[in-house]
Amino acid sequence: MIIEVSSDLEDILPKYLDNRRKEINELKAFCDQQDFTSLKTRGHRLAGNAPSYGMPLLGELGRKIEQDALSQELSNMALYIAQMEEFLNNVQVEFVEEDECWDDDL
Amino acid sequence: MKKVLVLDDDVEIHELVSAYARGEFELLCYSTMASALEQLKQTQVDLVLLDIGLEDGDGIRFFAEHKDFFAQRNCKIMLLSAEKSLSKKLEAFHLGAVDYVVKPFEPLELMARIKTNLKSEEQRQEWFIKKDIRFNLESGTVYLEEEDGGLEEIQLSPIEFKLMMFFAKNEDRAFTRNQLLDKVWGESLHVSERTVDQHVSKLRKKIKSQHYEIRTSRTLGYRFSALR
Repeated sequence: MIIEVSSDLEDILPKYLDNRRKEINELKAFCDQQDFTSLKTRGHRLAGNAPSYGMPLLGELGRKIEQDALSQELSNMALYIAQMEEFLNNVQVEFVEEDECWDDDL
Repeated sequence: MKKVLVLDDDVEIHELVSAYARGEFELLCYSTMASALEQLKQTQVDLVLLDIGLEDGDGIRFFAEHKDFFAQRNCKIMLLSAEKSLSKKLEAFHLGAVDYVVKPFEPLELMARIKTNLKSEEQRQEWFIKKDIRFNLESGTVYLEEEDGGLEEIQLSPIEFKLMMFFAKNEDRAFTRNQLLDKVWGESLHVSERTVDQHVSKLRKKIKSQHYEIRTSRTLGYRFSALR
């Protein structure tokens, strides 16, 4: 999957993606522990920051994680985390000038 | 350089704002209200970008509790939150917030909002008008309104513009030549009092207002007043 991201983020995006990859195992552990507070916090942050990093799909998964954590619903959590993992494993970033990648859906 | 403090418990937001700030303002990033408050007591900060859902409490409550502290320091508050309910926005504006940005945000838009909010009221204002004398603050140009409503552009040097603005903003106040040198030319410049006389003379010749004049006070210096 190729996504276009603003060249303004070229220096910080690799670290952001690394942090998200590390977060996968943490999210799985929170599920095992039924730690809904941590799931809610992580989902909330992901929903708030990922679209600004040019990744609305991750933001949407964050929103779902937060919502399900709020209602203490675990049944779909593994699916969301798997979708997050798949995205992070396959994403290829193409940096472009800001006016070329304006996201009207943000 | 203006200082902006980001109070958000998400370090990815710190990184993002830092990447876009590009040295246009100094950035201080904190994750907790306690650590941010400690810094705010020591440093004059121009604007706080404040998250609502913080680890150690509610950002709006923090703002409400320290409203006077921020006002006394002329520190503006801009909310940055995933909370998009109208009641929260109204609560923030009621407390005196200058802006409210909902997450996720477009980074360039956030930067534009920060920069606009960092400008003083005077910087935001495009025109300053004293009856028939109109100052365009963006271009540094003065226009004189003619009887038919048209505008005549008056050619002024930058220092003449500054002097005229100073007079216009201080109507009916007399200033000595030395005071004018300090206020308009700045203390670091060493020019003689005679320079003030020369510039006032030029302004009198160039700006023939139907409403105002620059009067000479024998004991005090100069005063900008309505025509008698």
